[in-house]
Amino acid sequence: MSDHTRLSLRHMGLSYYGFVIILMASSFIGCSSTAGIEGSMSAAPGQDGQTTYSKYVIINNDSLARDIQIVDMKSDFVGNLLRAHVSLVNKDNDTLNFQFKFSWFEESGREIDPDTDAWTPVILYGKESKSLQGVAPNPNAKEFKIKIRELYTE
Amino acid sequence: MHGLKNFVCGLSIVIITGCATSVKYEDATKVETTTTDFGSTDLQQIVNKMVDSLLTFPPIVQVTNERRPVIFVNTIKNKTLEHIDTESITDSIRTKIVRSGKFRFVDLTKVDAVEKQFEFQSESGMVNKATAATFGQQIGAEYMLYGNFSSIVKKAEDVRDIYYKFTLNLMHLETGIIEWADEEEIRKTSERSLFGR
Repeated sequence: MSDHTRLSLRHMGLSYYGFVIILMASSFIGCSSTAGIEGSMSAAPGQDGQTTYSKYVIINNDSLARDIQIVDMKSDFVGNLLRAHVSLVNKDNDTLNFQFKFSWFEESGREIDPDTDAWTPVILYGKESKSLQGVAPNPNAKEFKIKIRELYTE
Repeated sequence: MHGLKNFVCGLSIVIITGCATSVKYEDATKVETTTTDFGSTDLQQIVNKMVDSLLTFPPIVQVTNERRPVIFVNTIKNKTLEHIDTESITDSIRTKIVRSGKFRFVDLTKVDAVEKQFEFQSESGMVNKATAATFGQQIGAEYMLYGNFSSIVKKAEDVRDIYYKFTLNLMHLETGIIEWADEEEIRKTSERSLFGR
């Protein structure tokens, strides 16, 4: 490292060793998991003519699950299109930036137009609750899945 | 002390040699934040919001339950300071609506090509008259889709703030009534950090 560079670092208020530590720390940022939380809900016709719903949540990222909780999942039909409502709450006091996307499935379990729904960025302020909504791409959808991941900025 | 210097030199070499160009495929649906300019995530957000809103608006649900009305897409006026291909936005909106099976579309940008094909079928003598498309059978559009796209940009020394507003309207052509309208707002900021560009 030249004297000129050392002088520039001092000018910025950084010591030589401080610079090395920052450099090493920055090389480790970005190694966090790309796994997230998945919520799934399906609507199926029951025996008595009533629609029965089943739902489950899979947590693949414990640190994200400590901050975000899926409070409720509901679905209804608008005309003949399945509409999903997912209520989330930020359990932390800080603002959370994350992303979500919906996937849609037919009754047979086949995914409709895989990978066409885009990841949507969302801001959730401290302790705030929010409802995310999605509408199925066509009337064949009878089941939805929501995927939630941390937001990576590159 | 010497050991540390060697370590720092070694680290620098590793960093410098790691600067080669590499190409990799990325997820086309991932959140993209390269700059505050209009990007793929903004386009996808606008399309999703507009199509979901249109297809679930109660009076529209009532109409589309009975039949599949025909729409034509007029242009989206780009009032932002950027060069944005608004046709790409309307193309994506149209594709998503068509795939929902709720509406049908006519494409006025292809009138010339269709006319040439009609002439070829009726006048060239090469096409069997029984299979040739007949004039005057096209379906007139019932609705028109049009909108505006505007932005407000603010800059301070190290901060750039941009606000986009996309408005879309669906007009019933015969009555001139706007049957549905919605807008999507997007706000992005960028801040130049100490170690950034």
